[in-house]
Amino acid sequence: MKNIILGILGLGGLAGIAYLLTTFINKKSDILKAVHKITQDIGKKKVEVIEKKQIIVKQKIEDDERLSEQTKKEIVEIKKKANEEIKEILVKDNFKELAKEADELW
Amino acid sequence: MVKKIIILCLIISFLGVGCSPPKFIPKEPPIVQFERTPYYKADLTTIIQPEKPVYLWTDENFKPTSINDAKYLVLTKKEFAKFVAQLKIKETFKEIIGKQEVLINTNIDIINSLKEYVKLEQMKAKEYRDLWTDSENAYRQEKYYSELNNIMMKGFLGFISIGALVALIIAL
Repeated sequence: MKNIILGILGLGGLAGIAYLLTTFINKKSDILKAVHKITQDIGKKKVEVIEKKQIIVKQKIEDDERLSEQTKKEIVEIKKKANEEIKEILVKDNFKELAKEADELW
Repeated sequence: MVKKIIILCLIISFLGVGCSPPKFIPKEPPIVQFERTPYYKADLTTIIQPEKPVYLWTDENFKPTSINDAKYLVLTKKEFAKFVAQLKIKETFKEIIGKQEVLINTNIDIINSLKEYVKLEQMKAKEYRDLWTDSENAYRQEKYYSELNNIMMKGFLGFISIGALVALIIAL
């Protein structure tokens, strides 16, 4: 009878040790989970910041592309205006006007 | 009573299944598309070019002579206009060069922005790689602890079961 009681107590002790060990492992696991969550949150925030910067850069590229197209149009306009003025100059039949024009352009 | 306990156990197990973590769906990155820029051609042929002027070379008495003996060059209104037109063309070219400088600098700005974009993309890739590494490490660690826990639980349960069985046999 005494042996049985001792055996049961031994088993109880064993169960207690098992409980303590699993609790210790679970606690360690919980700390790691918390650290992982923090790392993931910080990482996600960093990615979001980078993506926001990328959107700003993309916006700048699009603005520059628009400016580039605008400049190309302006060059075409300059050519058109110049052609009209050259035509006018070539048909001018007045030395005074021509000389004035030449002085301005010199 | 036994039936109720079985139903309760089934409900609890269903609840456990129902509370399983939701499937992870990653955030969609912003869609970024860049159109190909066509080549630029500085077409100056569209600018009117006057015909070559006709020169009238004269000596000191303003009498027409050959180019070798000439002292003066006489221009009619029409020929003088061609020179003025050339001055206008020169001025136009100057204006176009100014605009082309703007165009080149804008394209340099675009190139620099794209370089910055690539740098940011690399940073993002590194950050994603770090997150992936962290997740993978956390998963491995969790798996290791879970397996260790399982082994320990099974081992101790086995010990206790065998011990209890032995104690039961001795008691009988």
